[in-house]
Amino acid sequence: MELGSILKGMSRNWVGPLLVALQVAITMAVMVNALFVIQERREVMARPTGVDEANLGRTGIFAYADDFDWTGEIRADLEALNNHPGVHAAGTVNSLPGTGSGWSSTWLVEENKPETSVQSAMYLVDEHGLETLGLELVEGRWFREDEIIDVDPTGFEGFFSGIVLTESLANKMFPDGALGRMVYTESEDQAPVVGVVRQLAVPWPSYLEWEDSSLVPGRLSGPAIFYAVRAEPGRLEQVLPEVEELLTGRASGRTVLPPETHREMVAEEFTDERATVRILFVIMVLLVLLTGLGIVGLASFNVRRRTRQIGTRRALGATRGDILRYFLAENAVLTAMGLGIGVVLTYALNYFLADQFNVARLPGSWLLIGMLALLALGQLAVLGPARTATRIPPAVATRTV
Amino acid sequence: MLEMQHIGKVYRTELVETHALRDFSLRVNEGDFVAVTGPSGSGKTTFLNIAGLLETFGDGTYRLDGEDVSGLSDKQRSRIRNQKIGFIFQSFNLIPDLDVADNVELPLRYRRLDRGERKARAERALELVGLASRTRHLPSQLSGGQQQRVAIARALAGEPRLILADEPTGNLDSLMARQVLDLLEEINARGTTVIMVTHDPDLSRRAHRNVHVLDGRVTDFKPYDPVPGGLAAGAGA
Ligand SMILES: Nc1ncnc2c1ncn2[C@@H]1O[C@H](COP(=O)(O)OP(=O)(O)O)[C@@H](O)[C@H]1O
Ligand SMILES: [Mg+2]
Repeated sequence: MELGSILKGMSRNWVGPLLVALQVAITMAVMVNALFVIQERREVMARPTGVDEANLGRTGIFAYADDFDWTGEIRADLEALNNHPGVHAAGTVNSLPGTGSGWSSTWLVEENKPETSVQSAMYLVDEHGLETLGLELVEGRWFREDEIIDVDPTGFEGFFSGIVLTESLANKMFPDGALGRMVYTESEDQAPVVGVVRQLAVPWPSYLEWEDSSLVPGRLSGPAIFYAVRAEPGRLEQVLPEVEELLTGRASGRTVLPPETHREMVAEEFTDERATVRILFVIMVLLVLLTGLGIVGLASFNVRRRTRQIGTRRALGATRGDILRYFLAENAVLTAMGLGIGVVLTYALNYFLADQFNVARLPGSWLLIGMLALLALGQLAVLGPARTATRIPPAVATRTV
Repeated sequence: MLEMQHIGKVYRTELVETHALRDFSLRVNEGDFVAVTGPSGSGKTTFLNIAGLLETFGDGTYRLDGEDVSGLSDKQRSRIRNQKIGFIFQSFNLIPDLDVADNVELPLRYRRLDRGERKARAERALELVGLASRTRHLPSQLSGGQQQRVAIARALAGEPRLILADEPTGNLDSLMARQVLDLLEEINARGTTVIMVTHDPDLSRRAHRNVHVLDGRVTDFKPYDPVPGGLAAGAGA
């Protein structure tokens, strides 16, 4: 094609093309990075937590009566819940994975050696925990009823008789096998590893060690406690209101916490995240549209400015196809220049995001796809004005002075 | 070379119908040099546009180089314009973004000739018009007379059988106008048919033949005699 003359023509009217090329460059940088971040965030939001998410719900009680029989009522509640039709299992928990708040603990691999410390999430669970959460036990055993101790968060006597680790945490602490090994605390308590579960996420969505969780046999000593309720498959929505009614009617001197599904709780935790993703997406779409309009505008202006020259080209033998190809080629040159600058901008923005927000390095394939997409956008945007140009009649050559 | 019979051309706008050509008949022989004269608005440009396949017509028949061109597609018409016809315009119509050589090569590009062939032909054409030393100039860096000579080189580069010129000297002073006419005569002398619209009686006198157009019709032929039935026969002088 007339590549040389297209470039020469651009260099003679360079302001418009330069601005549009810069717009293409900025759009590429924002579009590719925004899509990459969105994709990354979506992956984070979609990570499995290790529990039976579809069928898990949570309610709880808050006891206000001074003479409330804490241990007895909890036992009675759990018995009622576990016998309720549609409930697969129910048990006490201090928190659930991915829901935002929970406890953490520091374990030592070797006694009195702070340098061997490992951070993890710590879940208080009871004898129903394995069934209630729907965890997969890969080694060892789960806790027995007689192991569950009362835990006062401000301090308590004694220590847990055993501890269950996730596979991820177990491999980190004891690469040669965790079962039977002792886990120590900084306050010189210790407990053996009695079991290992396949997977259980931490409560905090942005925590990097997503699967480093530990479970201990314990139950809060009041005045509030959560009940995890796992419904039979597909019956959660039906079971939760029944559970609330059941608990409310069963005893006095307490308030029943409104039940929520695990999915609702996780979604709520990601509200800001989703808003950010949506805003990013909208900004990106607007930029792409704006760039498309910029290309349409420049091309339309060029078609009008060149009306006589297009008529002349037609008179000299250019077909409509020749005219169309000329504008498509001109746009391809313009977009390609923009994309050249865009590659640099895109990497620069990615470095900044990686530095400031822990975003991963952009793979080259994303860059390539972004470039192809914008090239297609440019060609699509120029198609309208280019078709207008093909309709300029050759007689314009003799009729326009 | 060119034979029009009873051509009619009507321009319709919302308000008016203009009969730009009516019952227009003309024959131009191979190798002729025809000057078309007539008052402004009489239909000279319309005739030239139809002759050069820039516009279509309503009634009548038109044979160009023996071929009936009324049913041709836009693409076929483009190809004929490109291969058989060279246009010269009153306001030169050089492409402002292209330098002299690129302007002259343009019709050859649309003919899909390769680079070397294009360059060689453009050089020859520019030599003929005396502008071989100006190939890298832009149109805006040339005088009006030079621009028109570039335009003539562009029309010649494709070695067309027919040159159509619409008031080619209309924007030039008389000296430059005469130079342009010298060129057209030279081209005609090499066998190319030339049809030129002009106002200038001095210039039209130098053509072999004058066609006078009035109100969309051919009214006068010099020095040839009209053939009965309104058809102009170009039998030798
Ligand atoms: N595109 C058009 N639309 C409407 N009327 C036109 C158009 N082109 C030419 N005409 C009219 O057709 C007539 C002949 O025009 P033209 O061939 O340009 O005359 P000339 O070249 O002899 O001055 C004029 O009346 C002119 O106004
Ligand atoms: Mg005219």
